[in-house]
This record gives sequence, structure tokens and C-alpha cells, in this order.
Amino acid sequence: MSARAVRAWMAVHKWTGLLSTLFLLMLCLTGLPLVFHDEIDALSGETTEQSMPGPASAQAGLPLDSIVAGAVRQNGGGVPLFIGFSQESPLITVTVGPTAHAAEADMRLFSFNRQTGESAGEVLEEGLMPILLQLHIDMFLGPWGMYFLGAMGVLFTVAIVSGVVVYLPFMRHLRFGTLRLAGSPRLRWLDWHNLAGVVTLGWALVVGLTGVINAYGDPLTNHWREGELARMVAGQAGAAALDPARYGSIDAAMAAAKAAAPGLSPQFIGFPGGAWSSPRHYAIFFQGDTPLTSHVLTPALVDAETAELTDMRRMPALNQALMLSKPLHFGDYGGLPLKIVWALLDIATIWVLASGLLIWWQRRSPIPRPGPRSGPRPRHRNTTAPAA
Amino acid sequence: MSQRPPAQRASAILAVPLALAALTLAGLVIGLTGDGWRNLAACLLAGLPLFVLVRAWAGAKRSPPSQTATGKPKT
Repeated sequence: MSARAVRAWMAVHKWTGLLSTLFLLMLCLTGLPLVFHDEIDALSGETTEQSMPGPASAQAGLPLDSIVAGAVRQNGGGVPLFIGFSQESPLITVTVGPTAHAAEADMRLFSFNRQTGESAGEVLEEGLMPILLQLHIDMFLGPWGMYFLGAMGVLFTVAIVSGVVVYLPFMRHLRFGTLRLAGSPRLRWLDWHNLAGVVTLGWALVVGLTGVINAYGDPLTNHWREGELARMVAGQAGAAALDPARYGSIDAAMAAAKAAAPGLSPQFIGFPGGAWSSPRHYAIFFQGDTPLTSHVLTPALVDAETAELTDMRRMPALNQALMLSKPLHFGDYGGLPLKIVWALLDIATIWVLASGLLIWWQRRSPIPRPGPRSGPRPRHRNTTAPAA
Repeated sequence: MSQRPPAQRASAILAVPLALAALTLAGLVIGLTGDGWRNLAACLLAGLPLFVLVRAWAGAKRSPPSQTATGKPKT
């Protein structure tokens, strides 16, 4: 690589890193407890899968109509918006809002035991975890905050790729894993930065890229609703929004959808008029029957008034990628040991970011710069970094 | 007098990092495909970078000057 090319890649690495580091530090720090949200919820006494034994609410239990009626009663009226099923326990959640296209802030989430019909209470967005989640998603700035953090994810990805390129000249004369602990503070930080950065390369790329996909997830969902979903209900184009008073039986709709999707398990239902359905359909989202395809959804659109199945199609590849990118970003799968590994990799990334910042901060103390093949050669052992 | 260790090719420099990245990726995907042994495999493969990091640190604390491309002590 020529000296000019090395300098250009160094500049790319420095500026993409510097511009995104503070936000990435925030994302790493807030993401750390989010990996353990199940365990933290359980400790704080919230109703969890483990605390409710019995058949999965996705498979069996009391009629959905009665559960939904209970949720609307608890809300003191309103319109049901979503039903969320569990694949492991009788836990079932119903989202209720004032209107069919209520804003997220106006929605309330009620949980029930589908086996007994008992209320498991309202799921309240209070405590530290929802604050951390909101900070992580959009810094309380709404969609633009989310898109901004997505852009930081893009910068992070560029910083990783350029980091690998500038790693080459730095390591030409060094063995992999070199840590010159006896060197100057800046040299020590440089070695830590290089080593921790390069060994966490795969994980950081996965988490960075899936973070970017998640940040632009809402436009992808909108695109699906306006494209694929509109085509699925093409026969009823122009149909007026269904008055909630005319909503038919959800159980009848579920039976019609299940007849067309034997063996698949429902994950959630989007009610008419919401972001996940058409103006007059129950959109019943089924998940695949293997662990991998459980993240891939197949929606069945059932007329909410007549309980007739209109269409059923797999989500487009981009939306499927969005669904797969959620667990790959949050690391909340694979059991507690993988979560611990995930958290340690997150800490290693904090180490990479902090060391990068320190190297820049101490930029007046010299480290030999990587140079061209014909460049000057270092004279002292502790300054062997690069020049090749 | 210090002797420069020989320069390594890019493929040699990136061999271990890219292998680690591929194994990490494999671990993350295997964890998504099921439970049981898959969770264990995911944990071990994704944990490999951490092991390498700790090993390098322990090695550097034990023998600080060993840092050449060939592993030979410098003269």
C-alpha cells in the first residue's frame, strides 16, 4: 500500500471513529443491561414466561374474544390494536388504544393468563429499563433520533472496515496479539486498540450492521404495508376502514387462518387500521416451526368482519432480514451463557472505543506512522510499530 | 543493534483475525438455529475472541519483549 493510500485510510478511520465514538459509547453502555432484560424483569418482580406455567398461549387457552374484551374493559373502553402470543407459556398480551391508528404513546398493554383468563396486570413502561431502551433506540428524539443513530452505525461500520485496512501496515512487523505493555502509554493503548478491535471484528460488524437495519426498520415496515400488503388486499382496494363496532370474532378469524397454515404458530395479530394491517383485516402473523424460521413471519390477512381469509404470503426478504436482525443485534437468545459472552464482547468494544479516543487525545506523543514499503525504518525496539 | 523482523504478507496478518471473525459469525448464527448443543457451540465460538484477548494479555505480562513477526527474540 502506498504512503498516500495509508494516510487516506487513516483519515477515514480517524474521522468515522471520532464522529461516532461518543454515540457508540452510549449505545454500548445502554445495550449492556438490555442484553439481560429478561433476567432484570424477573428480578424486579414483573410477570415473565417462567412465572406462568401451562400450555403456550399461541397454541391453546380461553377464546381470544374473551381475553380481548377483558383488556378493553380494563382500559375503560377503546379499540384493541395488537395481540401478542407466547410460544412458551400461557402469557398473552393485548394492546389497547383510543383509536385504530393510535400513536404509540397513547397505547396501553395488558397481560393475561390465557389458561385461566386472569389478568397479569398492565405492562407499564416505568423504571430504568424502558429509559435505557428509548435512549438506545432514538435518544428520546423520535424517528429522526433513530435515523441519526442508524447513520452512526454506518460510520461505525466504515470505521471497522478502515480499521482493518490500517491494521495491515501497523502489523507488518509484529506478531498477532502483540501487546507492548512496557511501551509508552500511547503505544500500549494503540496495541490494545488494534488487538481488541481486530478480535471483535466479526461481532462488532454483526451488531453494527443489524443496528443499522433496525434503525431503518420503520420505513421498511411502511414499505411492506404500502407495497406487499396493498397487493395482498388488492381485490378490496378502496374499501373503507372498518368501524371497530363491526369487528367480528377473532377466534373465527384465527380458525380460518390456521386452516390455511397448519402447523404454524401465531406470533401476533395486528388489528385493522394499524401499522401492521390493512384498514379492514386482522393480520395474523405466523412464525416458522424451526428456531431459525421462528424469526421469519408469514402474515395471513383475514377479513375482520366476515372471517374470510383474503391472502397469506411470506414477508419480503428485506423484512425477513429486519426480523432476523433483532436477536442478532440485542443478543437476547441462546441462553444466559451466550448473553454473558455478548456482554463481555460489548465491554471489549467499549475498550476499543475508549482506547481509540485516548490515542487521539494523546496525539502529540509520537507513535511512528505506518508508511510505504520504502519508508523510514524505526531505530528502537519500542517504536517498531510499522513503517514497512 | 536492532534487527528488523521480516515483513509479513497481508494474508498472513489477516489470517487469524478473519478466522476469528468467521468463527464468531458461525457461533452467532448457530445460536439462532436451536437450543441445547447449539447454544453451547454458539457460546464457545462467540467467546473465542475473548479467550484470545485474555491469552494475549497474559502472554504479554509474562514475556513483554516477545513481539516479532517470527516470534524470535530480537537482538
